Formats: sequence, structure tokens, C-alpha cells
Amino acid sequence: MVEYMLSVSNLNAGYGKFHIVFDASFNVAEREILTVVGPNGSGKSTLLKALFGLATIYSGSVIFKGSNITGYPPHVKARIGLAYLPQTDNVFAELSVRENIIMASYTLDENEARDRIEEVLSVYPILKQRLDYKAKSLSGGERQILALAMTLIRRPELIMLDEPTANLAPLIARDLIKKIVQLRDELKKTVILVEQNARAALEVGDKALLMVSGKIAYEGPAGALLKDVELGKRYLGLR
Amino acid sequence: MVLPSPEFTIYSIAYGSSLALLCLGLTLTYMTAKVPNFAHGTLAILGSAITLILIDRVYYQFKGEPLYYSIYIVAPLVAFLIVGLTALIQYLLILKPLAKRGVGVIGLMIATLAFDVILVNMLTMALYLAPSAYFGKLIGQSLKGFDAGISILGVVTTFSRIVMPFVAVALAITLHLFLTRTKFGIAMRASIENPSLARTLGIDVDKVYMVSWFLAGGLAGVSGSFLSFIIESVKPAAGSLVIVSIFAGSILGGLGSIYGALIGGFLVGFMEPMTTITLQNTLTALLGKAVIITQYQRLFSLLVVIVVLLLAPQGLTGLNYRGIIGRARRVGGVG
Repeated sequence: MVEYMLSVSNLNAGYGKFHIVFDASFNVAEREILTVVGPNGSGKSTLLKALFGLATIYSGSVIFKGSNITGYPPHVKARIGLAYLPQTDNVFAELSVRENIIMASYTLDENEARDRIEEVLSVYPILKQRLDYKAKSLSGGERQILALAMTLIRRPELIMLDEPTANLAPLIARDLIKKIVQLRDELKKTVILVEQNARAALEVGDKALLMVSGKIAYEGPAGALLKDVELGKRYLGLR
Repeated sequence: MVLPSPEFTIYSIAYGSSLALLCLGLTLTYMTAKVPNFAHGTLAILGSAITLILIDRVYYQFKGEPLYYSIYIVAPLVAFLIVGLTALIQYLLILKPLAKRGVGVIGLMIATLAFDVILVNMLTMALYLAPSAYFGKLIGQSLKGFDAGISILGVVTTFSRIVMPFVAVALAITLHLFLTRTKFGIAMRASIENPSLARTLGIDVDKVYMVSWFLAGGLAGVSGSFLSFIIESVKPAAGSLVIVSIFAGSILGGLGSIYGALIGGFLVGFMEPMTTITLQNTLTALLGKAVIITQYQRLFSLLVVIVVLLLAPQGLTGLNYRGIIGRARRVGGVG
């Protein structure tokens, strides 16, 4: 039996009385990009939040590297190697870039923190030039890079990104997608990418989920979904 | 217009400085618990009461000796600790459990009012019942006679009035360094701005809030300790008057910035007595008979609240200074 990085079965989730995700089952293998696409309000973000412990799981299970983490609170999931990057408010706007990075290394001891900050700044040199700027003065793209850097400092194995390219100009968005591919190819991370921009996300994804009204309507290779004219036209606005 | 005397100006600066610390504390707790703490004024009076008790029990016998000056260090320190703990208890036993049960801002606000009533009554009882070594009874005593006199450049004033502004500046600088240079201080700012993101990074947001409440109470204690020498008498009910000025200063500061709170608090605390006395002296001179309006002093704070909320609800720190300067330039025909 193949051991998956993440194995989700029969997941039902939502917020309080609002049941949003129905019976979701899928697997993510190591060093794979799983792209989650679907129309607005189809439950993509809620699925991510449920996986990270920010939405309520009613039933089903989440297995991470062989252990059942279904009911773990977010800070425990963060400690064991999962990372979740919210769509907005994912950096401290009033803090400087340096302070944001220090906060990302909050739980590490000083030497360890210094090494990892050094490491992350070498992956994203643009941040080195902005260390003393407040995060709110960064451009949208730079802000997402800072958020990615903050995530990487904790050396997660599985990174969940919630619409990272939303509100970014097309060129900047393309650049950010390249950085997401770099997460897999160079930094050996596993990625779950929820995206509104279906084509770009499917092009880089290994596997894809199409969510429609809280249910998984397609699970399989990303390339195949991209070529599926019927599904693409109906749900993703692809020609 | 008859301007206030240098003595009165020094008094106003001291009062403004203590109010700056009080506004700083109120703003700090407002930013963390998102609720205005109506007991903040009484927390300051608790600091005053601690100073009164220290003088009654220990310091009256050293009056006039060099050792007496240690009261200006010991009393604020003791007040810092005890009032800090009181504020922490208020947060842990009342506000946090209520917030956890989903009580909204209005409910929490009323809970702080209830705590204020309890604190005032407990303090009143304590000051009535506690045996007094020197005063006979503690309630309503004035400490003005216990403030060491000092003369600077021919201006006769008191020690607490000279020290208070320096203490306020020193505490503000210390707090600034704490918030910008230490990891825990940065975590405090981070938790205030975005608690859920802070939690996902492993920051103990609860601990951060507890420290904020302790600090806010502690600063109120220090402030109240110095105020005890300035106010007419130490009465527990005085807190409900001071709270008006504290809110005025905090609202002027914008309620979202501790630096704004310092500036707003100082401005209100300094201008309130200065404006009142200037008006009183001017009216006296104009009418040719003594006019006394100092008992209406708080009206100034109430006016500040109304004017700020109407014209600039974001307070001083929320103003668009570039816009204002630009407009002023256009109106003035400059540039």
C-alpha cells in the first residue's frame, strides 16, 4: 500500500450549522501539487480550513503521514509539519518585514531561528531589501512572498495555499505560481493549492480536485481536467 | 485673557503626564480585550490609596528626613504591582470567561462597570474600616501636605509634580523599547493586530493579553500614586470622574495606538486645568468679582469627546495629515 502524505476520507465539514463540504475523499502524495479548483462558493477554502483545523469537521478522517490528526487544533498541526496560508491577512501589516519573520520563528530557539531566517531570505532575496519596511507598504506580490517565507521558516512538509494569486496583477501572479512550483521542485514540499485562476493552477498541478457545491466532482490528473472541455466549460470558465 | 501662573502650569504638566499613562493603559486593554474598561479610573485611585496607606503606616514618621524621598520610588512600585495584579484579576476572572461564552462588547462593558462599582465599594470599606496610625481615619484624606516642597528658578512647586513628567516619559520609552526590541513585545503587537495569525505561528496570545492587562493596571497604579499628592483628597469615588478624562484622552489619541494615547492623554490632561483656570481668571478680571468654575473642569473632557467623535472619530492618529496640510496650502494659496 502506498503511504500518502495526506489521506482524507469521507470528510464532512463546515462552520457550526452550515454544512459546506460533503463526503470528501482524496489523497496527496509526497512532493506533489494538488490543485483544487471550482466555482465560487463550492467549498474549496472551507476544505482547506477544515484540514488545518479552522473549520468544524463533523465526520470523516484526516491522516497525515500515517497518523490520524483529524481533531488536532491548528497550532498542533503547525507544529507537526502542516502549514496553512490564508488568502488575506496572512502577514502582520503594522509590523516590519523583519518583525514578521521574527514572529514566524517565534517558537524556535535563537540559533535555529537565525539559520532558518538566513535560509529563507536566500530563497526570497527580494525580502532582504525590504527588511525594515512595514508589511503594509509592500506590493501585493511581495506580501504573498513574505507570507510564503513566514510559512517556510517552520519547515512544513505540507503547505496549503488559499488563493494566493487573488488580487494580483497577471504578471505578478504568474511569478508567484513559479514560486509555488519551486516549493515542490527545489524545496521538496507537498502543496495543496486552492485557486480561482484555474488554468494557471492546473498547468502546474500534478493532481486536481474539482469541487462543485461542496462535493468533489472530479479527482484525477490535473492535465486531464485541463483538457476536459465539458467540465472546463461548465465550471471553470475555460474554453 | 489672564494666563495661568508658572506654578499652575507645572501642576498641569504633571496632571497631563499622569493622564497620559492612564490613557496608555486604557488603550492597551481596549486593543486586546476590545472593550473599554470603565474601572480604569478606579484602578488609578487604588494606586492613590496604596500611597495613602504607605504614608499612614510608614512614611509619616520620616517626614522632612532624606529617607522620606524614597516614597516617590516605593509607593509607585508597590502600586504598580498591586494594581497590575488587580487588573489582571479583572481580566482573568471576569472579562475572559465572559468573552469565552460569547458575551458581546456591550455585555463586557457593563461587566467592567460592575467591577468598578465593586472596586469602589471595597476600597471605600477598606479605607473606612482600616485602622489608621497617623490620620485617625483614612477615607478622604489629603496628601498635599506630604508632598515634599521644591523651588526651581524661583517657582515654588512640589517634588511629585517635577518627577511625574520624567517618570511618564521614562515609562513610555521603556514600553516603546519593550514593544519594538523584544521578541515578546513584538508578539504583543502581532497579537493585537491579528490574533488568529499569531496563534497559527505558535504565539501564546492569551499570555500576551494577560501581560497587557497587568501592564495597563500597573501604569494606572503608578499614575494614581503620583496623583495622590496632586488631587484634593483620596476618595474612591474620584475614579468615576477621572475616567471621563481618560476616555477623552484615549479617544483623542484614536483608541488604536498607544502613541496616540500618550499624546491624547497629555493634551487633555494639560489643557483641561489650563483652559479652565484661564477662563476663570479671565471671567474674574472681566466681571470684577471672583468667579469659580474649576468644579466644571470635566466639561472640557466631555467637549473633547464630542468634538473628536463628530469631526475626527479616528482621533489624532487616524487623521490624514498630508491631506490636511495639502488643503491648508491650497486655502492659504501657498505652493
